[in-house]
Amino acid sequence: MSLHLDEVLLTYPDGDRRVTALDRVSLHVAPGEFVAVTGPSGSGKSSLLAVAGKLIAPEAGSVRVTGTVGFVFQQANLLPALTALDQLLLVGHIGGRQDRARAQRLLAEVGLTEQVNRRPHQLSGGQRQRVGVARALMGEPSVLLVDEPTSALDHERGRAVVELLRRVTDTHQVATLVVTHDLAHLDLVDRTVTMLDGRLSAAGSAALPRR
Amino acid sequence: MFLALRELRFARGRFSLFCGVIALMTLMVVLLTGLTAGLGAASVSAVDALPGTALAFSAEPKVSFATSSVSEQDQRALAAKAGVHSATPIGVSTAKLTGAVAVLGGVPGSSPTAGGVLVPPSLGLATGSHVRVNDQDLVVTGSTSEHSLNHLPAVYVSLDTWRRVAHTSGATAILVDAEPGADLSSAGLTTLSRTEAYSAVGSYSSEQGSLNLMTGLLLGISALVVGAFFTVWTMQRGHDLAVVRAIGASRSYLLRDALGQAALVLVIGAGLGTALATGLGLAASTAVPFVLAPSTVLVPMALMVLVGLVGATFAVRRVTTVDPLTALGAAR
Repeated sequence: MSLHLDEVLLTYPDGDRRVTALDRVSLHVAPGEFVAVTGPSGSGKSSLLAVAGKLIAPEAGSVRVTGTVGFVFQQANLLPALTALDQLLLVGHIGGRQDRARAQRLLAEVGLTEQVNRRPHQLSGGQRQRVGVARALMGEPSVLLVDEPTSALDHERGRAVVELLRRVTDTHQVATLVVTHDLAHLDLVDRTVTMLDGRLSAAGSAALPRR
Repeated sequence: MFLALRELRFARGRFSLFCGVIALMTLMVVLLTGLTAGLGAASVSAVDALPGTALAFSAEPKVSFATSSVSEQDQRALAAKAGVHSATPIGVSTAKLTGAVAVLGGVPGSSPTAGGVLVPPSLGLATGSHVRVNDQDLVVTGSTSEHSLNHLPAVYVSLDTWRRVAHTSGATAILVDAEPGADLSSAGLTTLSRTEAYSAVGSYSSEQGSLNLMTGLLLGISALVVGAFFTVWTMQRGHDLAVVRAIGASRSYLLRDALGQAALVLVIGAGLGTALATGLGLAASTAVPFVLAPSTVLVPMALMVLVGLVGATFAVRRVTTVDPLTALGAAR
């Protein structure tokens, strides 16, 4: 099992009271599995992602990740000063190894062979999100956490990005957890779970059939 | 420095402008330091050139070459002290030659025969020339190095000649050559080391104090300017830094990168400013007292980089507080 959340509890301070963001949430994602988390704004989707990526420690419950985590952010969150290739090389630099060949291979895999030396402002929204996916894969993660990947894209480009996520989930056998408002592409995921008021409605079960 | 170098290239306009600001501030600091040293030398280089280990002045609330007066009895008292090799009375006064000069009388090694005067080449007087110093007719018997006292060129005469020029029978101070640690205290005298004796030159302390205060203020302002720039820069890229943290960078990684970037900008800016100041200093040194030396060029440059780094450290330490959570959409 690559991602294992058990009975995770997380609360935030909100004035004099505390708001429960995650209420005893359990979720398991296996290698090669593509899971979507949907739900209204404020339901706890991003909190789930933050806890799964260990950006926040839960107050109770456990989070276990086999291997490392790769993040794909909303609107890609690419660094404006870096070319597409440098976005990936930065991950290598942080990890202490500069694997230029791997970075080039990953950019080719997401269809950006010609755009390796372009900066974010020289790329389309879809291309930026593809660089974001390649960057997340650069650290050879076992878990891919994806935050609203289609929010800034039209239907066609959004679908292309979800198709890419599907493909890399299969190819790299990563456990992919995607948080999304966009219900149009859920046919591409293995499972969909819905969050409401910090609770998962269909944790661990197939809510929608794949394709 | 992976991110730092690429950001420098990407935002080269912004960083060039800032390097220019640092260069101009360094230019001012280096020019001011060279001028301070030059004016200092113009005030006290003749004191620096005196032989011996100490100078004894008549005890006064404010020791001064202009007002000090010592007697033969003072000289004998010092000469008799344990550890004192020699105690030589010297005379120091100002007089009119071709222009105003500082006349030093009886300095060992620079004391011509009676009626003679040693002059620096800058006065343009050939050996054998007859000159009038105040109301005394003297003969130039040789030249001496360019020294000055209180911004006046120094000329050297014997003590007897000096007494005639200054219309006095005594001396100004006593040059003492003594073993280290020798007790040089003597009733009615204030004994100072050679560097302490700089304060006996009229304008030296106030002049140097003002200029050093200006240099210090400039360095302080530089630290604030650098700090302000990097504060704005760090705040502007706060979200980018959160992304870098979220993709795995540690706090120390971000701090190293940010400080490396600041150091590089400071070294480039300070280097440019120093090069410019060196050129201007070379050109200016023919017209104004200006000293070009490692202590007046490299030291202020290093100080600029150092105070800039202090300012930058205060500014970029906030990179360690960047929350990677803010990289997530909902947390923005």
